[in-house]
Amino acid sequence: MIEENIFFQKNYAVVGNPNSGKTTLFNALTGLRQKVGNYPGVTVEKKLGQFIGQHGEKIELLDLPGTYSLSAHAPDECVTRDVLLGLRSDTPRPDRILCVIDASHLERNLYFITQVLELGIPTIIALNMIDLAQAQGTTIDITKLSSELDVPVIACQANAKETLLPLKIALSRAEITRSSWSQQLPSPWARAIDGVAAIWTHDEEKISQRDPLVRMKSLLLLASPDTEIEGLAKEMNAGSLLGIALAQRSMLDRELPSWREVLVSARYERIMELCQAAQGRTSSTSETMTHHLDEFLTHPVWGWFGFFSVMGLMFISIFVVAAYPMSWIEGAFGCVGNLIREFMPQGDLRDLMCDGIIAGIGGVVTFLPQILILFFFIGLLEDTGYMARAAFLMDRVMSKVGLHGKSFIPLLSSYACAIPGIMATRTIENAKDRLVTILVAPLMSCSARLPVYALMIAALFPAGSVSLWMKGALMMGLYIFGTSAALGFAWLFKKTILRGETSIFLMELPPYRCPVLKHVFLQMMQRAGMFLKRAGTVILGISILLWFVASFPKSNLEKSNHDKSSQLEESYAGRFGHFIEPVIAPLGFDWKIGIGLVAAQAAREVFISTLAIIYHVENDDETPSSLSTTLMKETRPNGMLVYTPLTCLSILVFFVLSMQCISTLSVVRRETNSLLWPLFQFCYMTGAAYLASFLVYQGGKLLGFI
Amino acid sequence: MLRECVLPSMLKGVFMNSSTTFTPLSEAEAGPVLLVERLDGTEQVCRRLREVGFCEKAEVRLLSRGGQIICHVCGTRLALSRKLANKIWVKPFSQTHPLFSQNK
Repeated sequence: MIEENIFFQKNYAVVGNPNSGKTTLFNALTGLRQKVGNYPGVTVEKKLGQFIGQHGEKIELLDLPGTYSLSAHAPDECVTRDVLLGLRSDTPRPDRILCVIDASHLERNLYFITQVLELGIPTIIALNMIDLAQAQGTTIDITKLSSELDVPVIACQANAKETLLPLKIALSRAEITRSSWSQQLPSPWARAIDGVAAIWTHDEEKISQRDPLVRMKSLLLLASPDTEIEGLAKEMNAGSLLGIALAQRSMLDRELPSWREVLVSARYERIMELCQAAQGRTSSTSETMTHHLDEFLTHPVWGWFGFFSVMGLMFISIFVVAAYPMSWIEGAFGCVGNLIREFMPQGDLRDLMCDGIIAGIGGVVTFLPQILILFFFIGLLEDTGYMARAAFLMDRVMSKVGLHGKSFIPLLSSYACAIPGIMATRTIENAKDRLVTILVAPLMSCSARLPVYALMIAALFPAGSVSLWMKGALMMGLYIFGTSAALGFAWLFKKTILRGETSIFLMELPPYRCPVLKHVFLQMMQRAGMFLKRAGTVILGISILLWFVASFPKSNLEKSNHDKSSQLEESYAGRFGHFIEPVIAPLGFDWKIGIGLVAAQAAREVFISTLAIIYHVENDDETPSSLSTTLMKETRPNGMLVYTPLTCLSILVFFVLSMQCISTLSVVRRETNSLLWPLFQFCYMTGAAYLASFLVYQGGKLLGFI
Repeated sequence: MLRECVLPSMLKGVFMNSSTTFTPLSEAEAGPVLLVERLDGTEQVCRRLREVGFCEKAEVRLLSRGGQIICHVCGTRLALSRKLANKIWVKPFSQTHPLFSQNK
């Protein structure tokens, strides 16, 4: 029997506290053999990975969202609870569990782990970050811990591959016994659980009242808050459950008034006993290192100094360092374009290739280095533990607008892309705060705006006229403008349509760690892949479509004299541009920019590829030059320059504020589960963008700028 | 049900005698080990606090106090708002405890 079992595929669910290094361990075990999907109905990422066990069998790992307790609060914690209880129809209940514990925070981690042990599923504990615990002067008696909890406990370091072998061997074990750990509760509690558990045993005779799953379900149902008990009972789907549970609760109220406190404190009491037996402390060096760093980095004055240094460094690297690889990519696309121009016969197909596809895709892919650097910094900040400090500092600012520091992390991620940012709002427990954060997140300047900013700044300051630092400063100014707008609107929404109390601010400050570069790079590559995929699909499609509407119908004049300017004007795109020109003229935009703006409604970076296509179509392009120099030569019919500093500024302001991203709107629709909110978001942002651009352009004109 | 007793400051004296003094965590002394005595606030807030380690009789150390406070509970550094810290009533814990005695 056991012999056969060895070769069977084993399925583990990976669970643990947030910051326990769960995802790092998951990545280290499975490497790139991962599948990222979604749980239907909620947008919580479902990550599956696998590796080959000691007997050549497949071992599949399911990475569940981190949580502090099985009594769930936030939507992603509910997923963990529901999967472990077997309440999700899309994900089978795991047959084994891998619990990840942060060895340096044993007491806290054990709260959740002991709950998991009571589920009656065979479990292995990975005692992660054992090096960190040792550096802190904590020694853990692993044998003692293992025998007390009655499960295999294996020490490891997720960031050091050589320590993972014992864990892999343990995961390949044919048989793992169920832990006999159980939490003793005072007799009224035990009776209440018996009472609720009777429902299940009554329905199905096979299930015994001692069944650990049934007991845990009953316990969680009894302990859930008044507002959630009804929903949970429905989810557990057992006839008269709610009534029985409420009756048992009123019994508890009578016989054990402090029943809620007892539930948590009884568990902690046993954990404390366990820790005293299995854990010894000497001196702590790493703890004091974290303490000293925090004295500076969370200081009311010096903390901001550190914060702005980190942010400043990030934005300067995005602008200065990325300039080199960007020029290489630009050069490469130029070369390919020239080659095709040389070797293909003249005709529409050649034009489509050069002016449509190469120009469109090239214009966007050029910005890949900047996006990579941005994700590199965000990954680094998360991995070192500084992100939590940034959120801590920002709490002072955020609380002024009625949000708390936790909202800062989604907003900071939105600098990279609003989509992961909006998905990160799931950790915010208060529904109104979460909605406000979702509504303002797209105002944070995302990486798709970066190409537009870079191009407009290049057009604003011709090469050599100002230093790179100056351009960096203007770039940072745009980011600050977007951020202030986000905070301003958050304040407005909290005051008006989403009025409510500021929710509690409670956040873990993980100890500082040396970042795992492999992990950071893995994340960077995943994001770069997503960006390139978009460039290969959405942007490619729009590029071809745009080339078509900008080239057809063919102008009659074309045959006689190659007047490409009138060709564009008579094309579908040109006609449409002229049609909307009256609306955007007060902002200083001409009809060509209008075409770009309309195309950019799909995705902001399309603005660049559109301009590239428009001006390639228009100019007889025998000597390709970079887009920004083409822009600077562009004139209006009356001979004046189109891209004056004022127009560039007006475009910049418009792009900072406007909502031009179909993907974001669809994610907002999924996350808020309504059409109203994405629609509202689109209207308020576009309205604000129009108004602000109008003020900038008309105000600038009044002040005498051109 | 949970007692929702927010003590008016004038009543605080009732709980004060020579050996024990209850204070909200936000006003406690930074440094020494403190003992959580009672939690105020709604059921949900209390449950959250208990789960991250602020259960009754838990040991806490206050590390810093600014707009928000940072404290050490259950082996973890936690940041919380002043408003929340007001809901956690603590008293000094003079007795040396095996987990913290060597830690200073």
